[in-house]
Amino acid sequence: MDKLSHAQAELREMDALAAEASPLHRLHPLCKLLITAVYIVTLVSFPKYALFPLAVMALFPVVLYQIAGIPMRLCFRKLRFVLPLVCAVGLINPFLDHTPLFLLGNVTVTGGIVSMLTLMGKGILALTASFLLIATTPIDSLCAALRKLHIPAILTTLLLLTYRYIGLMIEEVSVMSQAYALRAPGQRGIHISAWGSFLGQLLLRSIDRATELYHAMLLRGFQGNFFYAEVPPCKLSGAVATAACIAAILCARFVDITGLLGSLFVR
Amino acid sequence: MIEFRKVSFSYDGERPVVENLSFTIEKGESVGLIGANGAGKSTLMKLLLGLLSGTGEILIDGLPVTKKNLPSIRQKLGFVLQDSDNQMFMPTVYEDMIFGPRNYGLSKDEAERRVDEVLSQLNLTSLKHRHNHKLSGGEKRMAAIATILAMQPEAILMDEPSTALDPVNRRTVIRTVNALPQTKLIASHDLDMILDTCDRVILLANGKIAADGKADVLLRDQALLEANRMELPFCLQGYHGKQNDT
Repeated sequence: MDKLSHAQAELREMDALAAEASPLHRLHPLCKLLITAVYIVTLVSFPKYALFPLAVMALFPVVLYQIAGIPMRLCFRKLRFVLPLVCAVGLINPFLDHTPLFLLGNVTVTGGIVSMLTLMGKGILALTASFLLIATTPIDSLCAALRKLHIPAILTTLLLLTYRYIGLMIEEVSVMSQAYALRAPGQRGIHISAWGSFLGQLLLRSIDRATELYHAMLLRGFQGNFFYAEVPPCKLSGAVATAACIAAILCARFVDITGLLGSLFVR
Repeated sequence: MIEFRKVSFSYDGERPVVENLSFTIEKGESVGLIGANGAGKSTLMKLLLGLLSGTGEILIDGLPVTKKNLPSIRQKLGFVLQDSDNQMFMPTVYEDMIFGPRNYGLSKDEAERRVDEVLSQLNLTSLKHRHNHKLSGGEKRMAAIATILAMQPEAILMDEPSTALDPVNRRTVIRTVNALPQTKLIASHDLDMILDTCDRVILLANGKIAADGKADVLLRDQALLEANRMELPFCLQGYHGKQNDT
């Protein structure tokens, strides 16, 4: 399987994941959206040196991935291209902040190192939580939940169609690169001299394809409002689970759990 | 049901793709639209559906094709695209089928009932919850027809419905088309299929009507077909073997 077919397969794998039936999948999309939003905002609110309190927040994805029946390694595999970028965000901190914070053996750990690790931790955890949301919620349900939050229809339709068009775009690139490879044997990838025309053609083909799809939608009565997947009303159990999750997240933020645990062992 | 009155259209404002076309299709008629590449078949379909607008007048059930009337006109006309991948843009067959009826104001239950009816009419119940990307070419084409039928259109327009189908799937599509009671306008190069499904044929050449008549008569006119860059349907050619081509 070439890289593009692999990308297509991965995209479809996400759809298949979202269609599973674990308790987390069954939770109302609005609840999942709310929990994820609270989680990410809470993550961001941690101070820059709060590395150990942040570690408690890692429990959230670990537990929820188990409930959803999604292996965490799958998340890391899917996010393999984004994670290094997120980790790169704080790389400059050790050079800017030399404040000594504590000793690790004979090594002085500076504020820069801790803040770098904290930033990396925040980024990784935010990504894993977002991935969990997408992997347990079909895109239509997610958009329906966003509409319930009064996010403008144009934005949710844009999100939905972008998600749909990614697959088609990959398909077009795949066809074009196969046609190129068949006439350029032994060449690795696409030669730089062909990039301009390749991208131009891709754009034209994508526009044609998008126009056809849009026509297909218009002809079936589309007038700018998508009828998203029917989202049933939130059940009491869902509301309770959401409240419990949010309470746990806020508890992890405002109660010094690592300090309390430490005090059990150190007097 | 469908009436063209002196309709012309040009993409660049200079060379007309459709020129001064006038014809009428009665309710319940099954009409084949044939012609060489670039003859104007797809453009004619798009004009009919209001995706393009030219000069002259097009009437659907007495209703002129204007911006104001588009929603009701598009409810009357179901269009099966040449490429089913472009027609099936939702993740599953069910979601695709429910898309049109829901847009036209049907409740979820009503729309679902209609979907079930159409699927059972076409013997496609097993496809209901299948993912579109996992369907074979033949299944996809049948599902595309089903998405259109779920809207209960009064007329069905088809652009090359037999393209890229194997003989068995092609035959299934032909059988399905023949069983539909609606008015049909089928644009195709597959003259055998046109012969099997249509009573009347309109032959387009350079945007004009070169011939309009009974399918059985017109599709046997070798001179006319060849003058318009077409051939007799295979079933009327008989088997001459490969040596005849050389």
